[in-house]
Amino acid sequence: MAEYILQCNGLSKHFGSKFALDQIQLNIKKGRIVGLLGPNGSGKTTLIKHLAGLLTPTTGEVLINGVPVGVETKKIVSYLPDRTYLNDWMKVNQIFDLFADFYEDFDRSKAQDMLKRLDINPETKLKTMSKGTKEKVQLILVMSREASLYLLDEPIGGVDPAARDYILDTVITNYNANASIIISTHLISDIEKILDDILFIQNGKLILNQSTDVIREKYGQSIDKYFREEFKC
Amino acid sequence: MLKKLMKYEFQATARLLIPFYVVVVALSVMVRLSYHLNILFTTNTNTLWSNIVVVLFGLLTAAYVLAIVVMFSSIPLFSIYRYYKNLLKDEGYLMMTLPVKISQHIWSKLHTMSVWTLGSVMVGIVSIFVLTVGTPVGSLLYEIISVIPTELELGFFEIIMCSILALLTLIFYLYLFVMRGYACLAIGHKFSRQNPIFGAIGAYLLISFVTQVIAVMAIFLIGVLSINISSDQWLLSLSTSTLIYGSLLINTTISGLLFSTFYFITKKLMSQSLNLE
Repeated sequence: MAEYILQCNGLSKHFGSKFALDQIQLNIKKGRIVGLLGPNGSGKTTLIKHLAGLLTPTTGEVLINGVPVGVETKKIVSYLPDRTYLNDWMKVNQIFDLFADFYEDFDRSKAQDMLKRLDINPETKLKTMSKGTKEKVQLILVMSREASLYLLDEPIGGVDPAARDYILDTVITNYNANASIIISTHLISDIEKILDDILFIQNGKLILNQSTDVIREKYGQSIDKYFREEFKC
Repeated sequence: MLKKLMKYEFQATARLLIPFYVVVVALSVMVRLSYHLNILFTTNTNTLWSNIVVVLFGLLTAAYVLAIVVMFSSIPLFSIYRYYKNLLKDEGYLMMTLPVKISQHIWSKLHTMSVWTLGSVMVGIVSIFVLTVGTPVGSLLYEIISVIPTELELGFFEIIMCSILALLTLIFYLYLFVMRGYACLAIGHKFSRQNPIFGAIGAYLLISFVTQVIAVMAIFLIGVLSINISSDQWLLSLSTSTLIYGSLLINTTISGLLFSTFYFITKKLMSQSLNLE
């Protein structure tokens, strides 16, 4: 059994002459909640897409639970993208059917509970929903899986502040305790209380990989403040 | 997983195609009704109503012919569009993270398209039946169909076999056409990140040029080789069924080779160079 849920070995991605990711060397142990932080265009989404199998590296490799990204890793990775990917013609119940058909670890009763708490009708067509409600449905789908690795790309970016607490609470209370979560966000102050580790990424380079406790102890300030000083424009 | 993918592909495509089939059958019923009205008015009177019925009949017939043309031509194009929208655009963020192989995505879309093509053939037959049964055109059609076996010197079994083979060849060519579309999109997606559609059109033109050059070279080669063979005698000695089976076999082999090439390109690019941005 692999010690790490995620390993990136010399992961690089070029788009033409631009380095989106540059020699990322990374190991993440199981059961950690990791914040992936960095300014706009730093490579956060690009890194997450590699882990989800939506991008292929120019050089290097990504291993999830010791296995290269592929069909087997997609069974244990639950991915929330930074955009709406739902088929508009479907009803919420139909997209639940789709998840139940393809993911053995999808817990439908958990999904229905969350839907009820958010007061979303399962018979509503997705095309009639607001962007925020669609994002909530996507989060419900992703967090209703008993996955080993959750990849959440800007999960609180598009929702109102009142819903953020609910979403973070959903993330904390619904993920498999043995699983790991990687959360990418700009809204550090909202999530820093739940993070075990921090990854700082800038210009495609991983410049810091540290536990939140060590950062707070070493620099004597919150992660949010540290980030603001480190990446001051 | 293939069955599950096909289930959702059917759901996604049925929303548009089933209503379209209903429209085609409804149009054929309306054309048939207007045909009878046309006879009724033009034989009895020559009034404004008869002119209206004639115009109505003409318009409905034109709409029906257009609907039939669109029904048959749109299915492969729709399949290529589905491939692009469902796998390479935003929906791809869901579909390409499902634990299924690229090959299963490709086959699910191809098989779904072939079932809809058969559905279109069935709807086409039903609509022609509605239009022609009990009319002089219908009788003529039946007469033509009934003399085909005698004219071609084919038995009942051979007619059935040839019909099945012709249908399979049609579907095979559709697979080839659509697979070429998938390959062009995969190439466009790989090499033209900003404008994948333009990239796909470029790939289509390039592939067309290369296949045309190969075809011309093959024809030239066959022509040169045939000079030394008494081809006329050889061809004339073959029976009709041998000629039909032979030409189908040659066509299928060439299509199979092309299909395999496009399939390999698509699978390779989608599995090893996927770049959803």
